[in-house]
Amino acid sequence: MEERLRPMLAQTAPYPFDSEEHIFEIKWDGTRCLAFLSKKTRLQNRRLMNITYHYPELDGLYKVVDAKEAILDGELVVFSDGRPNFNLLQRRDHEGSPQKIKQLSKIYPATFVAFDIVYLNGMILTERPLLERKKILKDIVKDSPLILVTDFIKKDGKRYFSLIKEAGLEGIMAKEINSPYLFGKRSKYWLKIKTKGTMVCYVCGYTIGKGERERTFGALLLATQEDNVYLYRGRVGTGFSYERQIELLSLLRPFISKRPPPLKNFEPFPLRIVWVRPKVRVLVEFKEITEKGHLRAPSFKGIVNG
Amino acid sequence: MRAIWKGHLRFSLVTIPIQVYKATRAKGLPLHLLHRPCMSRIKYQHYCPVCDRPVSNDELVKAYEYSKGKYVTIEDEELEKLKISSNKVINILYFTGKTEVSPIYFRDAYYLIPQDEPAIEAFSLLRRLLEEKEKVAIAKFTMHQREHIVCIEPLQNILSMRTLYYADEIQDTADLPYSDTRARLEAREMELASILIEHMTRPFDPKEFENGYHKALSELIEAKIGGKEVAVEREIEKRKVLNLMDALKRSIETEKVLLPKKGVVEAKVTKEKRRRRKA
Repeated sequence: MEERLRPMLAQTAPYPFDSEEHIFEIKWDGTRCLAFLSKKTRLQNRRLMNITYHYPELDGLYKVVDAKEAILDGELVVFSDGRPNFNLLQRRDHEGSPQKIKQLSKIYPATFVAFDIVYLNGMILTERPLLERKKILKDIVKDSPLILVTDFIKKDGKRYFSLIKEAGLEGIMAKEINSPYLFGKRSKYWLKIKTKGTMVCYVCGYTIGKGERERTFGALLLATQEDNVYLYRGRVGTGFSYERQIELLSLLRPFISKRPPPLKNFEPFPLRIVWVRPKVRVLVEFKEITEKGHLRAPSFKGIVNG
Repeated sequence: MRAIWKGHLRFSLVTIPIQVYKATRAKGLPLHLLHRPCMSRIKYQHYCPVCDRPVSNDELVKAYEYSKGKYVTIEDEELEKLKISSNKVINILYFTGKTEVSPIYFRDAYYLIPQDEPAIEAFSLLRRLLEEKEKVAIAKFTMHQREHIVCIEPLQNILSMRTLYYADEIQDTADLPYSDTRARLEAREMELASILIEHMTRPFDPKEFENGYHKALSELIEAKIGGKEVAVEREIEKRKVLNLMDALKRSIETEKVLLPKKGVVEAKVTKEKRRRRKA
């Protein structure tokens, strides 16, 4: 089996749509992964890195697929409470110590969510239409907690999207029914439509934390630059670990200021605020933007460098 | 494995793009200290016994104690100036016989592999010649802002690299309280010992040894984490996900929404609402 394969990638579509030519499935929030199954399991990520040893709990994957040799495409997902938990998955992905990997594999086991098959017992399947590949995949995967085959629906993309959004999932994929599998291509045959947007914002202040956040902060106040004022975007209080909070605080401290920067659409609230000059930028994810430009349900994703 | 360094291996006019990996990994099981009543991780605080108060990082300065109680302070900027910026080259200075470098000098072990396809040829050539000529390369390079002397030798189909101690870091054996001038070796004893050594000679297999303490501690930890119910948990998680996918599908068919609720989010929302009401 050829080992240096790059998975097929999707283009982004801004809005959901209905289509007879597409199937729609859940966009799983995890790590993209090709599973090479023979007499053993080999997991490879998008950057061709062998990540098998990060997920010892999936060593038996080859046993739960009815094939001598197969290459499946899917997403490694850590579920908590019936939903993908990307933060937990990232912890799995980043852990390098063999002991920790072993321990984490027991506490936060990953599941291989399969959505495509490109190779089976000597047959290259990439030219077969998507629906045929889906059927082959469904037929060879046995029932096991290690793996699940993702469902898909036909036609009703819009309605599916709104349900997915309601369920709190990352988004949907729209894939052309008769499309081939194209290694490494970011093709328009596959489209991703996310339920959440992302935005880079300046941190213009933070609230004093309570309880376990007493030593760090409660939430960050966000703003984006608009000519010579800053448009207030709301505050984000989730998505960061304790270590991340400490890191943010140390970045923000040098910019603490007595006054807020010129802020548009800021509505005061009864919490103590420490203002900082808008220098540090963060990436946040959100559900919607309100009329006033505030982010609904924002969640911290990372610090933007430079 | 992740590369820890990328750059070029150079000897004379030949440069080979390579990447460096760590050859070893520490197998520690770090234990942390918790405050027993509340089980929270304790924090370390700098404390000044003279001023009798905790001090912040901004108030600290590094210093070297050159004689008891006497210090010279060294500012961070001064240290910064001493650091060497890397030119991303492992520069081979010369080659030497493979047994020339005593293992005493060996520090950390690394693997070298070519960075890309085009580099494979030159890399393999160097590896093969070192092997045939039974030579190793002595080289200099800068990693993590410090200069290292390294010894590079062939290992299977790649190259291994050891960082070396500097000569003045090695203790002189002449300083040991030992001299063997009085030892008198009897031929008969030599012969007997020689037979014994032959008898006890076999290939070295590192796999037959294991760190007993580490294994025992690791088993203790795993027993405490439990993990036995995890298989069941994952089964439950999978069922939840299948239920969700099923519900999504049925919702599409019946136009009626019956999504299973996400428990955690629900709880959070109500907590927030409560908080808002209070405020």
